[in-house]
Amino acid sequence: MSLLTIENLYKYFPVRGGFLMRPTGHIQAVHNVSLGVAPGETLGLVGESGCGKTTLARTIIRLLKPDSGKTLFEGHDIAPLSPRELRPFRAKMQMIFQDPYASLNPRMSVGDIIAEPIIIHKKIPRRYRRQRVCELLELVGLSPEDYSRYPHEFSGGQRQRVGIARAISLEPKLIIADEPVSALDVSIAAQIINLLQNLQKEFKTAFLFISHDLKMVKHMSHRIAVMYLGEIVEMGPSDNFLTPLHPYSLALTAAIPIPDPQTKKRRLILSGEPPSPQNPPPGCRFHPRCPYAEEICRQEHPSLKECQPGHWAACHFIDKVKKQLP
Amino acid sequence: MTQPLLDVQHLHTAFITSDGSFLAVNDVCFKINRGELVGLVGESGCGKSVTALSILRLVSEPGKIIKGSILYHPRHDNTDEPTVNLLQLSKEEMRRLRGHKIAMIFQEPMTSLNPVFTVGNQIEESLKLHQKMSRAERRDKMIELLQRVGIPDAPKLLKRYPHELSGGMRQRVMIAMALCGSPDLLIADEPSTALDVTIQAQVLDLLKSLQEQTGMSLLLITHDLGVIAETVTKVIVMYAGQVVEIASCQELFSNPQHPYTRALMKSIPTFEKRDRLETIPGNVPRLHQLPEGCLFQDRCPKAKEKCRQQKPELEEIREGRWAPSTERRDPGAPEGRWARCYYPGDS
Repeated sequence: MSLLTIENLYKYFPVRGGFLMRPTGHIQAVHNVSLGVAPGETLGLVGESGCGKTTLARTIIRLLKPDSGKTLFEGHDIAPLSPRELRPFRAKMQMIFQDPYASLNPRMSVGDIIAEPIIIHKKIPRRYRRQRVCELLELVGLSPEDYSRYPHEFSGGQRQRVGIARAISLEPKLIIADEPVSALDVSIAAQIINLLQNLQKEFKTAFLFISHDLKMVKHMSHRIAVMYLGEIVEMGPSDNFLTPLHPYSLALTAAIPIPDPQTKKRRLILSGEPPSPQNPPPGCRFHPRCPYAEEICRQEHPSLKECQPGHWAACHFIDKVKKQLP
Repeated sequence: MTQPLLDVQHLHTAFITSDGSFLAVNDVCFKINRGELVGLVGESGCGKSVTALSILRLVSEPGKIIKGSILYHPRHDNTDEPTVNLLQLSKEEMRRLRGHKIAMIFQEPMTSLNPVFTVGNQIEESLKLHQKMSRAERRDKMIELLQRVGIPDAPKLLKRYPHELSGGMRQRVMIAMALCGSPDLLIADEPSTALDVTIQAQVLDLLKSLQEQTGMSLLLITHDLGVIAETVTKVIVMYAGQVVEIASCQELFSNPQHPYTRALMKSIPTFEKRDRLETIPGNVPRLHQLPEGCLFQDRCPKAKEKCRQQKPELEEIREGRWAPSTERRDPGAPEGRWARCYYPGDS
């Protein structure tokens, strides 16, 4: 049974304007998203900024209430639960946030920040608490002496480690990592990635790993989902992503700088920028930037189809894209 | 002999704080030739940006350039201009160069554009300061610049405010501003880091094609080795305020000499391998308590007694070993490679 199943999740944000601040439209941040994460599995979620990755993460973990759809965690639908009812689930689902500057309380010492989930969920007797926090600090590459220091004394990378220590303090079953390494340097990012993989092996933690860096996601994940303008356009085993099926994933792959000056690569530079999620284009949401777009793409919204076992893509011209691949 | 456009020698920039002083830029030497695409790569806090700011003399309190020289040789088409040491120019002379012949674009285009002025106002400022033009000429020039950086509908854009533009557009505006004085050297400090990959590809492509058209030199500062590999021809690697390696892009990736560069290459994920990433143990040393000797010693697999005692200099490497001292050249001379290590390469 999968640990987390999401069915037809929607999250729109109203846009208000005018004298009475009435809603004048909606940002379609998450639009009909379904996915599943098995225990101990890493699902990578990639997409450009503003495509709804973070909103999806926050909606799954119920920091935001979805407009409709189901979020099944170990078979229980947590979407309609009250905060009190959610509490036991919160201990099993933790999040690592994107911005290490905004996600740590500047008035709390690092030790207190990491201990807070332990205190709230009463996991460990008080007398062992400090010891546990020190263990966690060492696990993420900080030193126990950092216990009583404050976030402002740390670099961005070190702060992210504190955030990771806080997330793993309860040994959760699912960690949603929202761009956990994008603020870190390469040599430090590699340490953190290895650390996350160790945790996964040791505790069978499942990850929803969100990043804009397809290379990092590919390295980290068993399966990958690609998001564009609030929708999942492709999902499949990460090994298949050298030859993606959706034109957007293809462009994303081609845009990644490869650290090897010898590779002469096929450049597929997308023109333009993602349209506003407030009024997404009709038909396929990618059609204004798509080099393969035809009339049908402007009219008809393509749905996710299983093209190969376990590999789904939403495009009218998958066969055409396939032919272009080497 | 062609002189390099910019010749940085033994640059030291210190920050004097209540915790003591530390060197953010510690004996940095390199050259940038005319029309060369140079990458400056390193982790955050290694002094990349401070080096760039030192070149423009924009280091602000408590930072101070304490030693070294930055020789700037203006381009050959105005031969009568003599070579100058940027560090000895008066404030007024420096101001005339800055943003005109040596221009810079920054990482976060939102914070480097003024939110209360229109895009037009801001581009015009540079033209007003550095060039004698009529209002109509300035307008034509601005539209031309914006078109060159790939902005459709340029006349309309002049009246818009930075917050109305996307990140990619803002960065294009920044680039257009930098191009106002047709600079000899454009310093781009992480120009694509805040952007999405598909937009990053657009911006890097734009920078490369502008460089080809104008023949300016480009100093591209980034932490992303992928961006380096695809954009530049020469690479300077920095670590803890020092230059640890200089090599052509090809050579750096095929045969890195400094242990830090080698470790860095192995710690980035690629599409091929799925096993574990190699990491560099430990952390970058704190700049106010630097160890004696080599700054990489604590993280280096090859560190020996000598590395702990005496600081290695940046030496030219030929066939995996130090070039004879009689043939010593300045770091950054063409077709050479330099590393700051006693045991470079595989030795």
